[in-house]
Amino acid sequence: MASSSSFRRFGIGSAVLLASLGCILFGLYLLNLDREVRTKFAGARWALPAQVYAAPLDLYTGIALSRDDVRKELERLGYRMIRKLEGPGSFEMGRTRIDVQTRAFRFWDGLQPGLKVRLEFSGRSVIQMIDLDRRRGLPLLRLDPMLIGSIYPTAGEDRVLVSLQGVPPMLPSALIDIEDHRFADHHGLDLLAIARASWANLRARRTVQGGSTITQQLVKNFFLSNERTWRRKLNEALMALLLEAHYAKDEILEAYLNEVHLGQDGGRAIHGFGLASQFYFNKPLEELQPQEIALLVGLVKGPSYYNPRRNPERAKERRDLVLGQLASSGILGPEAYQAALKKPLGIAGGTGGGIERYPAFVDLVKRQLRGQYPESDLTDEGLRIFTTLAPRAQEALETRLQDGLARLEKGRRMKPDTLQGAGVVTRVEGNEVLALVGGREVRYPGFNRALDARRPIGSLVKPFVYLSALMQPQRYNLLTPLMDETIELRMENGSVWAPQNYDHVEHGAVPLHEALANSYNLATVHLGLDIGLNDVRQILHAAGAPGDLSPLPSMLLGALDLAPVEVAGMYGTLAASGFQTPLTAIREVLTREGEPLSRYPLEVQRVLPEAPVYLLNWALQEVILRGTGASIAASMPPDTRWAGKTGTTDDLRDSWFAGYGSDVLSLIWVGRDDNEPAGLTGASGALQIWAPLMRDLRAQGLDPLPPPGIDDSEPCKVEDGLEIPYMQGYRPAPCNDGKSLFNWW
Amino acid sequence: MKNSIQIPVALLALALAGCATPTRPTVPPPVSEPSRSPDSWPRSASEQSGPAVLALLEQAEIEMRAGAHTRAIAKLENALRIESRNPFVWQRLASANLLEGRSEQAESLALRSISLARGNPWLGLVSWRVIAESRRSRGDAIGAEAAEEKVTALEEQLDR
Repeated sequence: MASSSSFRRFGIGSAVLLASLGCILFGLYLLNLDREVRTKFAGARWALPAQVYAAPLDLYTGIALSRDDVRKELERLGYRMIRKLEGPGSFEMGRTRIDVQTRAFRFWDGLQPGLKVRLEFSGRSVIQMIDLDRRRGLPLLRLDPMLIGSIYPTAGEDRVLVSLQGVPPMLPSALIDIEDHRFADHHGLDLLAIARASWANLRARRTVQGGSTITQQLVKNFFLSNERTWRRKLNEALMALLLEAHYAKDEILEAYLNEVHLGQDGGRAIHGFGLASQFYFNKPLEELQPQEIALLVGLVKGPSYYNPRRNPERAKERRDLVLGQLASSGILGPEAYQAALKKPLGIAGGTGGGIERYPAFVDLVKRQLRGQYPESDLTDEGLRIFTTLAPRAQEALETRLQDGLARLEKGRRMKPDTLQGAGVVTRVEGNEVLALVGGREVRYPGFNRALDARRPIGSLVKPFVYLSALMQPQRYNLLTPLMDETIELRMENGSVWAPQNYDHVEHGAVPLHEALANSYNLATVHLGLDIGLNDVRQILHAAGAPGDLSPLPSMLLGALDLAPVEVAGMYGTLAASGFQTPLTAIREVLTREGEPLSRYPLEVQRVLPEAPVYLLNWALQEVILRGTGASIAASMPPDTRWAGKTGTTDDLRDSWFAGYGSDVLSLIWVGRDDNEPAGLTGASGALQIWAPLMRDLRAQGLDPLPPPGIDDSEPCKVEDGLEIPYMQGYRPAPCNDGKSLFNWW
Repeated sequence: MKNSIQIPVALLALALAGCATPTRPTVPPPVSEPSRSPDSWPRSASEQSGPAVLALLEQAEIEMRAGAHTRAIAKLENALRIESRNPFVWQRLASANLLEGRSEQAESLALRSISLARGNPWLGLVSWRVIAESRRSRGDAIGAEAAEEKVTALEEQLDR
């Protein structure tokens, strides 16, 4: 008896002990969870990828943009065309005007407020701009820049942070209504919803309904893995309760808005409503319409299943269902509901909407940044990168390259997709990259030929050979006869180098400018050897050729491998009259809060003397007027002048053209990835893309300006009415009264 | 007479400015504009710039006065994107860079202004002063003196 009572006492005692122990362990466990919840939620919650912006468009009186051009620019920025201005990001079109309400935007030099502006057009230009609120003229209007990409870790999460105050009020209400309508009342768990969902799932014998609150969903995404175990379920519930105990509803809701997974773009996970708005609609969240909000809210249930790009019908059904529920809860009025139902999905074109459209350019931006910032700063710190990309130029380059390659293949009965290409467009003064394409699949972030395809540059090297000559005015001018005749050189290894002209003809004595315009190989080799290979090499380096160039005779005909951007840089030096600026893709970097972090000011250096460069640029105009590029002369705007050079390599493997006017420079490469002959010369290939591209860019022709050192007091006229420029003190002998050169010789 | 001053100045300027030029070119002296009277050249940016550029120049001026040189430079660079061959903008950019302590840039930018100024002596005068000052700030007394001579020659030309 005693033993049984002591046994019972012992039993109760052990039970109490065990229970207490259990309580203590549970308490410790809870404390641990609590610490985890608080640490993670209080600290920097997300690694924020850097956001990359295009250059903002400056509108001003006199800019050469038509009404339709500006409309396209606004549409590209996701502005909506409507009958009457209704807030930031909207515009209305008149017959000769556009009224636009711009978005406020924080630039490097401060916050620019949104404005209501009237733009008046006449033909292809803006003739007046009026600030509609202040009723006065406006000299300059800077539009908000397009978000063109972000720098996120490989296979990582991408997001654009939003605050609860900054989102349209309908979004949180809709989200709560659809996902968790007792959100305001529960403490993290909604037992009624759980019971209802369990019952529904039991009856269906599979999971058909979820009973998770917004808090639980947040906890699941934020702290826990995706495994389906009881332990994870328990943790989820406990952490939801803890989160609610520590933080206000608003904080939880805001975190949810930024955390929720809303889509996938290849290896990039689209997180949060801020990015989703850009990703699906190419505009900021605050400008979303009810049907667009409904679509995003509907996506929460299954971003892949309801993917509006892949399954538009399913997405629309889900959207309309959400709209219906919002209408019945009174969040959406009956009229707005009916109007929203009629709207199409309105998904922005392309895989990424406004994002990840220009992988080749963003690649260049990343490379320029990587030298200066550690990788984690770029993927985690939410930096804002302001670049030089001009979306209109980029679009023109993409279209012309893709169409041009297809047309070249068709014209030569090649299999489609045989040819590849790359292109660069830069601003002459300042050498900013306006557009960059690394291959014909312009949205594919693969091999970036513009930066990485190092190919022989062929005749693109010649201008630098001729420049070396023109820098010695006592020996050379534009009329100096060069001998275009066979040459054989014995190399150090015993082999014989015997270059030939493209047409396999020797042209005898040719004036220097003609030899360049017609790209005669033999004349160039004679000239280069005469000047000395080391001198030519120095000029190439001065112009910007990177790396260690071997001073071999074959260098004179372009046997040096360079990437398109590198060649564009060298030609940029010629285009800017001998002043060099490093090729740049970035203007400013700001912190997440909008504080200036770094700025890349214009860096100019005079590396080549102006007067000889002026003479060279004159000769390079001859390329298009009368030389190897003459086929496109008629297709350029009348009375305009352009400087450029064709480049062709052995067996027609590479087709190059580099050319410029006074404001922009474009360089095109066409060839094959397998380095087989492409069957194209510089003129029949790349030039055919360059010419329409320059027209699309509305590039300005050259405005030649004789620098000091050029004598323009006594014109040097030769036959054909050509007026040859020359250096002061070095008037060419045969330029008196148009006497024939051949008489002189 | 004019040439006797200009030849050494130009050669010196070239030798100094073109240090990066591998083969020292023997470029003859700059052409002067003997026929054109100084008054026929635009003296201020307002005579040669559109309203957008003028607005930016004005904003840059305000920033400069407030000591915000970097912001002024940003405004001027923006103006250059609109009128890339406006020598007044290049000239202001040169001055702003000098105040910011970037003397080599100031000199290069001033040279670019001169090359786009088509011989405008008013612009030349300001640009050569910038060049002289930037050389002096780098401790290049000989170069500065050469630029000063250029300034004196232009002052004489403008006084006539």
